Amino acid sequence: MSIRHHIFPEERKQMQREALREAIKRINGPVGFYERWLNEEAQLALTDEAMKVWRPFCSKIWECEDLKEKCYQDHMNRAQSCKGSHVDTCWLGVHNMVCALEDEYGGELVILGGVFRIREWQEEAETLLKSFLDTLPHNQRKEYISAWEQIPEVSEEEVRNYKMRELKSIGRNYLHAIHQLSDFRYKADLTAHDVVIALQVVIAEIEVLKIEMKKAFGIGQRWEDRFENLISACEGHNWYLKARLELEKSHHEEESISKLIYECVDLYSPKAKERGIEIFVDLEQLEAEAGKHMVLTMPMNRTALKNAFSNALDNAIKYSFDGTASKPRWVEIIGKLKKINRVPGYIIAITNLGVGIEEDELEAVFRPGYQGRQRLHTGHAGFGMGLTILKEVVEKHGGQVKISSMCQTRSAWLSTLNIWLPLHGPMGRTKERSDG
Amino acid sequence: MANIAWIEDDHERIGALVRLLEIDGHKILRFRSLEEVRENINKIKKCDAIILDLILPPVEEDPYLGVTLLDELYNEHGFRAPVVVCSLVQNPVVIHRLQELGVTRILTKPVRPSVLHDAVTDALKSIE
Repeated sequence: MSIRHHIFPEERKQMQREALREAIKRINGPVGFYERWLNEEAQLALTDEAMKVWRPFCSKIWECEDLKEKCYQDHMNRAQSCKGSHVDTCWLGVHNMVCALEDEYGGELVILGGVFRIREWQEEAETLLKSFLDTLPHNQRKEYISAWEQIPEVSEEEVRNYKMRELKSIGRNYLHAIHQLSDFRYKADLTAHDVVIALQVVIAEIEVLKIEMKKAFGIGQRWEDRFENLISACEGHNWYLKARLELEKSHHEEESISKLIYECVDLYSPKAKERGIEIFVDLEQLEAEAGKHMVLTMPMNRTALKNAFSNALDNAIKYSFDGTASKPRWVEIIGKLKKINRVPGYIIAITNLGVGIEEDELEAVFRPGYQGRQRLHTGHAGFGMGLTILKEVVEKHGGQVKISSMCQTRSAWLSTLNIWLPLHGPMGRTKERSDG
Repeated sequence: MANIAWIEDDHERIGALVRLLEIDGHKILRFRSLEEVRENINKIKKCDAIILDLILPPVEEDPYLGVTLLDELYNEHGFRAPVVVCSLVQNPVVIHRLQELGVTRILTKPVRPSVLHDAVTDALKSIE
């Protein structure tokens, strides 16, 4: 396995896309990354942005499947045999820069950049182009010649001294970014490893002790529960550690918030049903137009947010009173568009009737390990981490979270967890997607 | 009762993890590195099951030496007994590789001894 395995595929793609975007801007031409890392298959990466700066000539080639395949193979072959950096002429008489960079972890990056006609190399280029044109029917040749002539003409000096330098700089920055992230992850993995082993020691010793004592002394349920709570507390800390590590991953993808919520509801509906609790969901969508249903998406770390919502829903069910056939109970999830400080956002309110949180604890319950006084005596296993991680996840997304809890009768409290997320995400991105 | 190879660099610290298997009468052979495994390959090949950690020294060489080791056991030594992976690794690329190699079960640390016990017991039953 190469050093890149510390970086997740989505992160690699994002870093690659950003590097390619920057390269395209700086040399004003399409760029492709050919990457070969230790024990991985070589890949040639191109982006949609590259297509936008393609010359008409390249677009025409790419529209024909056979020519496209031949071009792709030509790029791969030239990249595979490339040593150092040089300017190259492809089989169609088009000029590219080819720049090979190696890194200390056994990775190889070859950047294919630009689509030019180099003034000083015109004769050779025209010869190659003629060979290609001779394979075409007569009536198509003029179109290809006209498109080829639209490829910008540059001097050899400009390509070698200026554009090549830009390409090398981008390649080195990209490799450096890969190393930095991989190194950070590796160190985080090592730290996580030490903490997990410590938890493993404790969990293993306690469970074996519980089993051996039960066998030897016949300990009663109360003692067994105490051992079980100790083990659960350790497992809870492990869950918290993993949730924190998940949150450190910076990649945010555009995802549907309602789909995520419905997935959590599907997950917990059976548990709720067992206790006679129904889950009602009412999520405001974007304005519907002419039969089209607009799906609201926002940039998010889906895994982290789904874990957080799952935990919130689990809490709502856990601390609800049990329902009966004649008196069913409910957990309500309402989603609405809402601006806070003029920032457009979406608020999700999860409400239940049951064990509440006293007024002086409404902030404290978000602290690690804290459990509300009323909830502590319910006998439900909990580690006091769920709301902590929920708050961190929501705030990492640029959002806010609050709890309200109002006493209805002597023992019944109406509690609402309000989660507000900005539509534009933490980095100011948003997209509306129509799936009508 | 079975001979079970436990390939784990922290086996001295987390010895309690396999105690329930020892109580059942299984013999646990402990190895902490790739080097130790290679030196004792004939003993390991005769084992009825393996419990395998993925992070083994030297980690600078390859952070997931357990995967490399598994590859060797299957492809070079023809090992066919069940393998229960017990590791903290959750990297999807690594997990996918393990599934391709055909491990019996993948457990994520920290794991309860009872869970490991049940996984290994089920794995041993599957070859009876």
